[in-house]
Amino acid sequence: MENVVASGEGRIGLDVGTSKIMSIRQSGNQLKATTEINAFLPLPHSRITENILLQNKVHYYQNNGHFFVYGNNAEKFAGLFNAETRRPMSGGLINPNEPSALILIKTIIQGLLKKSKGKDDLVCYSIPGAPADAPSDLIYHEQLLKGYLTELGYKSKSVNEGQAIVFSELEKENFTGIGISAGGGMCNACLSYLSVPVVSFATSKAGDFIDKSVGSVTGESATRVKMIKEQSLDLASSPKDKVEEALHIYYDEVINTLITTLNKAVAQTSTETFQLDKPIPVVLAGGTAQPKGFRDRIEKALEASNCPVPISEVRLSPNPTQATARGAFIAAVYDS
Amino acid sequence: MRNPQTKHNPAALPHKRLRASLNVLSSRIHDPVNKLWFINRTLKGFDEKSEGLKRLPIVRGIVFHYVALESLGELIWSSNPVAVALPTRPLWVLYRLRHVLLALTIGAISLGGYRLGVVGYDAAQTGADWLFTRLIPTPAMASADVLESYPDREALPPKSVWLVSSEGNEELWSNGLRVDTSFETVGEPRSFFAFPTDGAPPVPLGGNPIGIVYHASQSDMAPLAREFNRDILTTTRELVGWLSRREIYNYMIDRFGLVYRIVSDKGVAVHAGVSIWADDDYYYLNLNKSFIGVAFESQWNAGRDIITEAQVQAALNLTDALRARYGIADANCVPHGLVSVNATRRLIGYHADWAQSFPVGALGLEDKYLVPPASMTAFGFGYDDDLAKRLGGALWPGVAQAEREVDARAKEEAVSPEVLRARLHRRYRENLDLVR
Ligand SMILES: Nc1ncnc2c1ncn2[C@@H]1O[C@H](COP(=O)(O)OP(=O)(O)OP(=O)(O)O)[C@@H](O)[C@H]1O
Ligand SMILES: [Mg+2]
Ligand SMILES: [Zn+2]
Repeated sequence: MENVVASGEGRIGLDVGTSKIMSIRQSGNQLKATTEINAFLPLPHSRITENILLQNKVHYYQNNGHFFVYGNNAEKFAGLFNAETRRPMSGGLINPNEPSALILIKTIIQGLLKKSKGKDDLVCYSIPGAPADAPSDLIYHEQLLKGYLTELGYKSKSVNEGQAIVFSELEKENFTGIGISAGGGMCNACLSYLSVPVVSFATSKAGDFIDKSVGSVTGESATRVKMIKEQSLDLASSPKDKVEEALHIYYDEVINTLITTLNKAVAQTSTETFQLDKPIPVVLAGGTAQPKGFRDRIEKALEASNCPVPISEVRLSPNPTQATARGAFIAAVYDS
Repeated sequence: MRNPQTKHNPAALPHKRLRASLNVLSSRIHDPVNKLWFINRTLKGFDEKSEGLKRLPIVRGIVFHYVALESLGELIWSSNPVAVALPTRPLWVLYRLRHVLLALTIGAISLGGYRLGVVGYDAAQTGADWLFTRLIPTPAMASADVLESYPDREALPPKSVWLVSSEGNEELWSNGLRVDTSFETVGEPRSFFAFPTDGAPPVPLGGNPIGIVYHASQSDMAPLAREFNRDILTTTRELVGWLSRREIYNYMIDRFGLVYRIVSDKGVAVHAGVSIWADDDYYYLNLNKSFIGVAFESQWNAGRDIITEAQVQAALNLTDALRARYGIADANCVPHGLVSVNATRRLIGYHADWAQSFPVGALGLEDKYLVPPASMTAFGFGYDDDLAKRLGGALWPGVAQAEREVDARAKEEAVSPEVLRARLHRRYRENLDLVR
């Protein structure tokens, strides 16, 4: 990876996503990314289970007569114990209906970051756009994360996920353009001008929505749909079976919601105080942006929609799943 | 379903024209963090300083450029320097004079009336953007095409090297060395003490140099790209001219391998500062008067000094020529990082240029990184963790060797190493009085 300025020591970018939590920090002259899947696996208490976990040196957390295996191990052992993983977060925020959510997120973050060494160590963590119907949910989410980081000895600040994409991907354009992260729980977007956020928004239709919807219309489990989607979906060629057909349909639904919301958001601002000087780029990141043909579909949808701001190009981040954490890292370093 | 949206307040953004200026300036900085810092620092500074100037667009424009200049200055001359390329000297002057410039310009406008002000401001803004564009080119040398190491020199050095011709400002020497003399100054004649290693009284010497100290300029340079052709030479020549007026270094080798003589061989140049080195017979203290200083125009990148193949070839020719002319011993051709000390804190490696990876072998020299530094073995200097950190991990092997030697000697004399080092350091202090 290209080197970011030398003074990145003690600075960490943290992407707290619905599906994974990723940290990026400087190691020598390189950026080092570490990921834990944001999931856990509750296993009923038993001698055998305990032995297996101990033998495999798996970290777990014990509560209420259950072992909770978390992070990457959760996925690894789900098959072994024939159990389903659960998520501490949903729709981009900490899941209020999941009693173990708080302690597990905290444990995963702790494992990723370790205790702070310097007293000026700074973590910049990503947060989604504010939900209009319940803005206090976001404040709660943000404050909880901040609290965990303080406990671990870090100073912290938050960055909007869409803006993190702008920081990471639009340096050449002097941080002017639209950054979009199409993730698991939501799509986040931010229009920035010279790094100043002008408007940001989020939609709750993203990867998880696709898995669930396709599952329910085809009778497959969401987990299986997710696997098919991640391993073989090609949005550039026509669907070959029922599942693929449904995947195409719900992908279009995600894209249409995203573009409609984008146009609405941008239309309001561009008539007011702010006017663009020239066409701006759109950059796509996030796991859901990865299938072949996604970029083309976004481009077509934008063209068809009469977007109120002139768009110069639509491009895909060269590293879609790391872009948020990388942007958060940049935000952590420049803040000196 | 949630369909949330947050509208931010883009009031922090200045007028369209100033945004365009900010865009022009930002485009010259090619690192996301630095660029982000610059933009935000400028916007914030402008926001604070332009409050209450809403009705004075011209003054706002001036204030804006003032703030941008200040931000750039901080970026370039911060204690944590960044990859913004030179020629920073004219910018430095502007930066130093920024308050004066601001006052003068605003004063001139208020005195000269609005119309004149508008014309002046237009010119000034265009000029400022043009200047900034030229001053802050994109960063330089791709590290991909930099060699990790250079092969050792195979041939024997020539026994004698002589001046073949000297036309205009260029000397040609018999081993192929070419020297540009357009910036040459004479300098104070050399005269110094050498301290016999056997403890005999110091010997006054003078005239010819006794050794060579190699430096890395670690300066920012214009990028090596066609569109910067004009800047590339101007930058170097400005730098050499500046060095020459201050008599810093005897030679400078630019990235194309062009050799500039700055101070004559027999003249004293400023380069090694507080420093210590030794050969078999003598210790030398504060090497400016006894050693020739040769600097490489270089870039500090990823914990090492980056130079080009052309520079290595030129340095080989220059080293051969100097050694042949003045009978300089291999033992006294040494990188600056190995001789520089901090006398107050009794630490080695005060300046760390070439404290690692100087291509000694390629210049036909023995590996000086294996030599235990005399500063430690003879004068009780030590090192701290910070040095290793600055060098990206490890110190050169000579340091560990020196430590072992001091420990062994302390054991022999039945004192603790600390006591021995303090004693050695006293000797340094006494000798130092002579070289001042
Ligand atoms: N190759 C792929 N093709 C299609 N979808 C993929 C692929 N890889 C991952 N995904 C999907 O991307 C989503 C995860 O993306 P990402 O890691 O960006 O989300 P997140 O940051 O954890 O979530 P969010 O930002 O919404 O909180 C999941 O829905 C996953 O199924
Ligand atoms: Mg995400
Ligand atoms: Zn030096």
